[in-house]
Amino acid sequence: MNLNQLQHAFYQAISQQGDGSVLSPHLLSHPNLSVNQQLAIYRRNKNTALCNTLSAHYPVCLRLVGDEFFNAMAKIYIEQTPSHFTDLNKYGSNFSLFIKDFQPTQDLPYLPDVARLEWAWVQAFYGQDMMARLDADLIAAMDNEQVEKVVFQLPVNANLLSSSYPIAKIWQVNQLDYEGEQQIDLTQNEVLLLVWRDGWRVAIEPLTQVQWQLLQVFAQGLPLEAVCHHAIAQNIDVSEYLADFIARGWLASFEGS
Amino acid sequence: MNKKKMMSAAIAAVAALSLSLSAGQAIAKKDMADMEKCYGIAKAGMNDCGAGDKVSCKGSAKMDNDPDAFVMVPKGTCDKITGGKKEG
Repeated sequence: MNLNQLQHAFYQAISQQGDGSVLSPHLLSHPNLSVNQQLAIYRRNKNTALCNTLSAHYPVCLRLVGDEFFNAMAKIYIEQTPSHFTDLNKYGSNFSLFIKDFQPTQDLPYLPDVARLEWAWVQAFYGQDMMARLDADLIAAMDNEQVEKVVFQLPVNANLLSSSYPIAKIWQVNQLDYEGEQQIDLTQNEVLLLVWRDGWRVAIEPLTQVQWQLLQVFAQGLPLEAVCHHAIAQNIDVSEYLADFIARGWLASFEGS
Repeated sequence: MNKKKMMSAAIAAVAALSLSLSAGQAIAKKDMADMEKCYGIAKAGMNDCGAGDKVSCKGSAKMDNDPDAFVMVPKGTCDKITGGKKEG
């Protein structure tokens, strides 16, 4: 058995319905523990590590449903979702999709969107650093032809999210240090959010409809000329927003002469 | 508004921004201030290496049992969220 086969056998043995038959001839015997008992230790540690990772990534979902429910739900997710990364911080990306189809959470229709927000938070948190603001001087110094071709970019760690539920409010109320009204009325309007990291701080920023539309256009990575073209079609005046977006850090860099 | 005018107006606003900010200094200071706080932003229980409390024996019991119907009832803060279900 070569290393690859051995690793594969080990993985089989600690997967959910663990089958240690291939691996067991290669294990040292133990006076007090059977092969299956030994493997169960690894299996549990793996499951616990992944469950703790999900708890760390989705603390608001956890608070919303409680520990016991969350752990049970996580266990089922983990059974269906092997970790494909050596980095645990990348585990759990499609938890929101799982929750959406998970029968016991169907009475909490906002839960998948809360999970999407929490994943965006994690993406921003671990995403590439963005320490400097776009230098407006460089833009100001360009001539008209250069300006047309400039491609403005959102922060590399940014995500645009929309939801029909007040997920930013739900997120805020369920922070451990939150003190205030706990009740949330679901019938509030839809929310449009930009989640990104400004220096070391993760920001969840509510957007207006127009800000949202225009950032969506910028997110396509088009030259300014084409951005203006799309904006005019949506009746948006780019000149009212561009400088503001740059000042806020929502447009963080640019490409082009 | 035509496209050309819109673009030059947009860039004029950006130019005004660059004057008013005196960009470099203001931003450098801001980043310094943020930098000092960087140890405070990790959420509780969230560290980079995934070691320590993420891989220990003491927490393993919670993953032992198969979830049953009794467990499958949310018991968290979701009971504070009210209002009708929305379509879509």
